[in-house]
Amino acid sequence: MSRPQQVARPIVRSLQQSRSITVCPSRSIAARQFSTTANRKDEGTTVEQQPRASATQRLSDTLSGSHWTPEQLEKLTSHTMGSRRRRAAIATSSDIPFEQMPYQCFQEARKILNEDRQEKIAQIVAETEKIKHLEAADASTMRGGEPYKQKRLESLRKYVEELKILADINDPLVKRRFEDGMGDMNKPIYRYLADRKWRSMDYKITVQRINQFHIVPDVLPKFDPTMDVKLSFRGQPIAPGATLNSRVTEVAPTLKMQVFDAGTRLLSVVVLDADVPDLESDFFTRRCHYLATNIPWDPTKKQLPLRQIGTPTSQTGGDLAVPWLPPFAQKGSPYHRLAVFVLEHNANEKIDVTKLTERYDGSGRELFSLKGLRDKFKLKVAGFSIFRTEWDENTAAVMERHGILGADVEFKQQHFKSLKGPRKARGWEAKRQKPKYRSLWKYTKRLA
Amino acid sequence: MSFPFNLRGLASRLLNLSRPIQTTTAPSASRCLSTTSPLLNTPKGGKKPQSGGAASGKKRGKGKNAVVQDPKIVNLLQSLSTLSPRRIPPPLRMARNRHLRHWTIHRGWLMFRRKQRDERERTFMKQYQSMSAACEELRLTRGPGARPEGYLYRVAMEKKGVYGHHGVPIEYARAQTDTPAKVAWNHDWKR
Amino acid sequence: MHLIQLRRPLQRAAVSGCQQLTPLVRTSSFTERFAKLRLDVASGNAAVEGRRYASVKAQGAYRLTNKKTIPKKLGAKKTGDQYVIPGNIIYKQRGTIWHAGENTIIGRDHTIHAAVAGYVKYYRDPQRHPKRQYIGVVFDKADRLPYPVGAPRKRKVGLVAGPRKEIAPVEPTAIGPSGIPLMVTRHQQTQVSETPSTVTATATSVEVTEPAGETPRTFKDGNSVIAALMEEKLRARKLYDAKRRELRAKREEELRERQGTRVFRLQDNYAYRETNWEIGRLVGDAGVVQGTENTSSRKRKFRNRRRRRNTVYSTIKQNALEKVERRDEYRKFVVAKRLQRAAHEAEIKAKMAKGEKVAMDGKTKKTDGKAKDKKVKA
Repeated sequence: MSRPQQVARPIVRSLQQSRSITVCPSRSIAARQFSTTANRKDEGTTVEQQPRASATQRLSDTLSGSHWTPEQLEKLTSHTMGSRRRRAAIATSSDIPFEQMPYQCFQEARKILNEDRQEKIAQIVAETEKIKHLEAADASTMRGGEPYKQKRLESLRKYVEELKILADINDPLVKRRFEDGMGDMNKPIYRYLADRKWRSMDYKITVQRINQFHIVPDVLPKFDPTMDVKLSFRGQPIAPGATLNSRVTEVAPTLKMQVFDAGTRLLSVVVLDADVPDLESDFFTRRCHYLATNIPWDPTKKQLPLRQIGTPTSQTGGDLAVPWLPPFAQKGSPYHRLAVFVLEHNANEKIDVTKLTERYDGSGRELFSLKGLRDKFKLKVAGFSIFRTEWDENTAAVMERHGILGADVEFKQQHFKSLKGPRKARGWEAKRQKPKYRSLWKYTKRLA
Repeated sequence: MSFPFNLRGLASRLLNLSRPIQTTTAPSASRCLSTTSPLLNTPKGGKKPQSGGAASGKKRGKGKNAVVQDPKIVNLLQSLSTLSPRRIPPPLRMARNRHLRHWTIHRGWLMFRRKQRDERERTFMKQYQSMSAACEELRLTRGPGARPEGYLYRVAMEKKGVYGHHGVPIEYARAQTDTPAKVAWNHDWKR
Repeated sequence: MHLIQLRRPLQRAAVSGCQQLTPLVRTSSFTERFAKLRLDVASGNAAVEGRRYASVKAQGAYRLTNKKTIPKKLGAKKTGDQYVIPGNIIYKQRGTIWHAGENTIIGRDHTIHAAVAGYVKYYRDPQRHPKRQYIGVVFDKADRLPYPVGAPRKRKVGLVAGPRKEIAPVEPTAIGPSGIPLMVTRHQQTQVSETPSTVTATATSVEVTEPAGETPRTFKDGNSVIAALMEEKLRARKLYDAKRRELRAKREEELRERQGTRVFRLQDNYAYRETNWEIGRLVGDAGVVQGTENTSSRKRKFRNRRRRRNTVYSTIKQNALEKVERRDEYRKFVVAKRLQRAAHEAEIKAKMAKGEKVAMDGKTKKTDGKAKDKKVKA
């Protein structure tokens, strides 16, 4: 991601330009002329009419959703910063928006792209007309009947969505806004770009983690993630699969989630430990560490702090079914895989939390089955992330603080007796232990 | 007239000659002090680089003070030199707006090419279809006079002797190019 | 068979004897002629050389092993369904005739070991590879390999619980538990070079250039001022160069020392070895060696520059503002003072005028007027 200053430079430039024009309008036009001045003069006049406060307001409006503090904003809008050359350039160049920059090739390219966009828009209009027409038509007159009509409608809608994306994909401003993270996720183009970006790297990493940590046969028989889930503990983003200190994981993480299809849906979040050693049966079992449900989610939402769910001050909504149990691994046990699953509800139906709580809280945490949960409540597994935990210097304290037993236990490798029988001692010394070699006993017995 | 010119050429040649000599006899200050740079410049199988760059230019007896560099170090340096900026060109660097403009132009160019291609394909398709329609029409016409239906079509489809007796179109006698010559065959050409 | 073999040379000899009866060169003596007819088995064998060998080994060659080579004892050491414990050798082979499957480990020489305690299974897994054959170990004898796709893996814990023991931190020592030093430092003879002399030379040059800067200059015209500035600049550059040269020489010296000093550390296998990073540092530091110049990213460099610049500019701006403020304040102060003084003077004048009106004549009025003029001027 680019730095804030770099990002805001064009905006700042335009703002500063507006100010400089108000100060010395004659100079600014004379100094640097790119092209025909007629339309630019108009711009100058329009800018002159605008007061500076409104410009600043405009900037702060555009940047309001971002992470800049008021001081930083102030700095960005100040006109005395930067090198002399930069200030001079800002003072003398005109207030041209990016898309009107007078580079010939650029403008030609924009013309071509704009033409294409107009074509696409016309197509969209035509297709929507078609959809309307089809919706109004009687299904009984069609040869395939109602199913054919529905299928046709679906494919038409899909095509319209595709066209919407194609209409905007060549817009540099859309690209810029997406790169700055200011894209409106309600629009299909930004969702498409986000999906493409996710699939270019993060999705691949997630799939790799699913395979290399054997999540797929162990927890689920089959799984392909469709949404982006990133973990962060105590504000620190975590690489998927990282081994974390138990002090870090003592509090529930924040999920950074992004869905790529339109509409609001309900989500459930499950955190489970897939490697709980069970010495009685000598097999590994699973334990539920966290379960929250009925979380409303749409593409515009970004962050889900798990520790806030269920509290009265929660901003995201949702119900807490099983509170956070800090992950722990007893000493000597191999690393525990803590898998975070995000499940999508079927047809936005709410799940009764009390049912979940009585089923999975308390002793129900042990022997947890994600497959069972998924099948019982008709959920669809959509997102995944993972971290690992091992015994470390803080685990004992964490277990004590949360009243978890078993910190005083250490696991050791099971010893197997050799399949071969005991063997007689061999060698020169062993042979000469007999009374026959009494004279040599001083060499063969009680060797230091 | 030519005399001073020649002299100048001589002088320049002399200068050119003298340059490498200078560098070998008196290396620059920065060279003197680094042991690494002369190492990189030594040819394969040549003499091993001298210690302490100041006297590196002077010839010394191989048996005497010649310091044998550790092959480990030589190897490392050689492998590192492949990473040097001289070997790897820098990536194309552009500022934000510039890059966006570049991207727009690139996309525009792709769009333009695609439009052109589509247009051409469409024309070809139309031509082909109209031709096939004409042939179909021909096939269904009853020929001149008492000729049966399809006679004209058969005749039209015949390609015998179009390019002369057992002839091949001249275009097929040479390699096909996107930019053919204006004159297809130079008949006057002689070895 | 033996009979035929024996008989053949006889026939051969007879035939050759008959042929020799009519040769071109006549043999002189009778005895010589008969010598040809002699039944010499050895010479007859030589005549049929390369015809036939024994196809069956004799004298127990089948039972006796080759004494010249060491037997490799390859092959299966455990059969299917046999119980194994971790580490047991299941199969010894050259190359991978069998591949390691479920719960098995393949060794450096392709020997297949058991990784868990269980029962050996020899199987094929077309899902993994169409042609390979695998050896696996299962926990349950009745299980079949390969396991169905999508079924959870069968894993045993294989651990025993005991009380937890706290491990005291190990203090670093020079000598390891086996009684041999953990680290050996070897000093090679360092290269003798002229670098010290160059260092001194630069030092002297620095000494020479420094007093030159302190010589007083007379500024007569603009050119001389510019010349002075240029000289100053050149001097500064020279100083900077000298400093850099010195630094570089110092670094070189350090490098040479480092190259002469090798530290060998004790490995797990009781061998002494240099660490990889130390070997890497023999070439030079980051930035000195080609290809390692970019220690930080370009963007980071820009970011630092921007930050520096911003701080500098903000201070400059702040200083300027403060200066303006101070000046304003001072100006106000001066104006106020002046007004005060004027008022004071006027007061005095008024007083004096009053007193004089009483006592003085017209002359004083003139001076009074002059004083008034002066006051106006002030």
